[in-house]
Amino acid sequence: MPGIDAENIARFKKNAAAAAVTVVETKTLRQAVAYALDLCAKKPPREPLPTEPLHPAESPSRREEGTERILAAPGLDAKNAALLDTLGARRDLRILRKGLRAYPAGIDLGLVLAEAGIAESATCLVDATDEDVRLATMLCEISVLILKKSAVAATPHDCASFLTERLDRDAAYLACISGPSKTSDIERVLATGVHGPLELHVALVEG
Amino acid sequence: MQNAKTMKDFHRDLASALDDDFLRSTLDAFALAYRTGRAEVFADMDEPALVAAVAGAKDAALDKLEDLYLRFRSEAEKRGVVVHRAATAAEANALIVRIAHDARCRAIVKAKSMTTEEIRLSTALEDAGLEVVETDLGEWITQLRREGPTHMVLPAIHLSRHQVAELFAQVTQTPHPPDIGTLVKVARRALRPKFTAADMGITGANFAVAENAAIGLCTNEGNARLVTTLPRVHVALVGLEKLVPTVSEALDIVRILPRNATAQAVTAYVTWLTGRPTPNQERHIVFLDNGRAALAKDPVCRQILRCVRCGACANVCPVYRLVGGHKMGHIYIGAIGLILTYFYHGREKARHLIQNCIGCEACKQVCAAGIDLPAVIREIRSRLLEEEGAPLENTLLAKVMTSRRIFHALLRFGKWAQRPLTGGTPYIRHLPDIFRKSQGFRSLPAIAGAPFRVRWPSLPKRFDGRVLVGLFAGCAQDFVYPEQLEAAITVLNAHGCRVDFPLKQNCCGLPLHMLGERDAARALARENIRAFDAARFDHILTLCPSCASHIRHAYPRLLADDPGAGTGVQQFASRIRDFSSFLVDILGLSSATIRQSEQKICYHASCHLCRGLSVTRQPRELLTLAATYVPTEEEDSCCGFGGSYSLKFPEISRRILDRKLSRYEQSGADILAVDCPGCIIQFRGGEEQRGNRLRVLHIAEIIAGNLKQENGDRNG
Ligand code: SF4
Repeated sequence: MPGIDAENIARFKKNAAAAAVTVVETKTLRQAVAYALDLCAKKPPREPLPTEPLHPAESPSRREEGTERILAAPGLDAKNAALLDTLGARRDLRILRKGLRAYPAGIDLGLVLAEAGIAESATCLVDATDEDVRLATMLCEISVLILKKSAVAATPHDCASFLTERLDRDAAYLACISGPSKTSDIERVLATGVHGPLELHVALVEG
Repeated sequence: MQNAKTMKDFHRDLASALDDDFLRSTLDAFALAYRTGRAEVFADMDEPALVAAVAGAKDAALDKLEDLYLRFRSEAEKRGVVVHRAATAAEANALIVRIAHDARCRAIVKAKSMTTEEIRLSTALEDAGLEVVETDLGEWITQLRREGPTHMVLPAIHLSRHQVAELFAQVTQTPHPPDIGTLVKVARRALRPKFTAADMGITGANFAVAENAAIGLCTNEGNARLVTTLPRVHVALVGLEKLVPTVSEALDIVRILPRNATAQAVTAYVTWLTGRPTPNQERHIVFLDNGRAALAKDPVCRQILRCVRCGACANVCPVYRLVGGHKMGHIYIGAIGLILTYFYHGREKARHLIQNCIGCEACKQVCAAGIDLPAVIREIRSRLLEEEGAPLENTLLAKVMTSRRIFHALLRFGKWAQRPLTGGTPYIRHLPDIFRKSQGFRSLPAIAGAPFRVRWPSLPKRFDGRVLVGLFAGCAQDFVYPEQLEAAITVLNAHGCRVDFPLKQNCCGLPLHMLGERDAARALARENIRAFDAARFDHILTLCPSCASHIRHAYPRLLADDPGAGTGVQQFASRIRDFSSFLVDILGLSSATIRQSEQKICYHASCHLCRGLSVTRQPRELLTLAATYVPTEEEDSCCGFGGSYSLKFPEISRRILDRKLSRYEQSGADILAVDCPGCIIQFRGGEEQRGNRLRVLHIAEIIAGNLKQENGDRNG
């Protein structure tokens, strides 16, 4: 595994700040997951559509109160998934790992692992071929991407072989994400959340 | 969408845009913000290298377009994606309607794509009974208003938050405050159900990679991601020219596109997708030809297929800035819009539009793909003349100007004929009424009593000069401002130059070339090359950067196929020089010969000097040497003259001039220094109307006026 390039990390952080992306640095993956859970627990709950399926633990009255929060985290391995479940239960969050299509009105927070980063544009590369991974970064109000520091390269061309390798497969959907969903279409004033996330957080993890 | 059938209608449309104060202030603010933002976002990049990489990759791809298409198709088919090819717009529309019907689709969501606009796809789908919703916020707004986009990247830039709030109130049947954050949320809530209800999603593509049949989509809103994910069927309409061989070429496009479009380092999302979305979803890729394959073989115009649709050529266009996209393109907008209208929508639509270019070259300087947009615009004007025949005034002008004797005799006759109009002043004061209405915003200069060519024999000369300089006068200085040439000669004599003025020289030909009169422009080029016999001189100097830029860049192209032109054209083109760079780089002017005066001088960088010849440092150095130079914002934006442009579109020329002069007047300077006699005609004429708050001088006049005495004395 390549080491961590401090210059790339510094550049990534600087460019992320310029693009209104929040960057946090954590020592471990566990801390990054805890950060996401914390964000989710503190945000105001999204407004669900009445057609959304009920969670077994959820009562219709609670939904009406609008206190339920959903965190979607597809694409985690078994160990991290178990960690998430334990921590999530403590925070009274509903954790989804698949079937996100059923939540068109949105989820509160999407937590996804990025596989590579680009310092020049503060970009995270996410292999979103799995539809649930894709939707987790699209339907949420807050998107949290976890990125290993050692996976941050300098320029897009440094990621060319990664892209080429993935696109060589039968099907691939690669998302290079560098900000929340944003628009300047009205009077050129920047506003976020027009379709996807209102906020993007990147957790840079040591290693 | 510009649809005017006659020039009169076109002027009427322009007038309505010029009356829209919101539009103008918005585009003004955008132009300024873009300028600064773009400089910042390219600050730590090698911009020319990136532009060259994009241009090179695109050119190479165009050479093997068919191969790339076949490779893409086979890679796509391997992955279960259906590839189609449509020769025309109608064919593409019919194809996509058929795909929709075959898959029993009813509701369609679209992401922004200029290619779908090009073929009016939404209209075709709606005519076939399908419901189409644009999901890009700006596109949705313009769709709800039943109008087209006014910018390729910011489709609703012409609208205010109040207009949007009103529109959304009608659509949702609820009032909304004119608060942008709220309006964006309204759109989010209104559009999300459309995504989930849609059977089909339609996108364009920013690039199509042949080696793995991937298409790329750059978006900020992320709507293209939902459009390609939620519906059962995805159709991408892709112009054939979007094909590139590998991921690497696509990455350069990803790097330059957002930087050049909106001065953003990257779009929030760049999506690369290949293969089928999921086994029960369909994906179709429709390649659109619509003239592209033929265009790829057109030696002069094929470069326009390099375009990455960043919209920068509109962002910096002084005309776009005044009138907006609905008047600056049929579907495609800006300089590239004028051009693509001709190729994709026909000469009826292009005929008037293509005239609405000043030729300031601002677009060429920022183009992400290094396209020489002004040259292609001139080329189309020539083709239109060849296809449709020239208007009478063009033919007459061409006849007169290519005969030096008739042209010069006429100019001299003009000196007598103008008398009743000038009242003995250097301006034409008594314009006929019909002319004054449109042209009265600036006084037109009178023709000089004696042209330079008549004064030349009696001017002081040095025969001991060490640098041999041939002087190319250009019409404006020969016949209108001969004193500027005389000032230059004073400076040259004082710095050891031996100047000669070949009397058989004629107009450089640029005005005719701008009108599309290519043969006449060629004839003039040959005449001047013969008149000079350039090898005799160390340098050929002109005080008119428009002439210099035309001689340097257009002569070799105009005479490329002329075996008679020989090496003469290269010798002439390589020796031609502008005044400022000659003084600084060749003569090395310094405070040894120039004194610094008390004058405060602001500066206008003429288009053909700063962009045409890339001379930017030297005039400012000269001004700093001779006076206090007062920098101002947008010194290098066009003055609005553009030769015959200001006669054809006075309503635009006037507004550009007013804005420039207001800024200069506010600078606190007492003199405006200019490099180009055309700009001087415009600025002096404008100042004469505004009360002469500024003196407008050619930089040669300023330097001559600040020669140290002993040097001035050596003159002659
Ligand atoms: S012509 Fe050049 S500047 Fe204009 S849109 Fe195309 S790439 Fe951008």
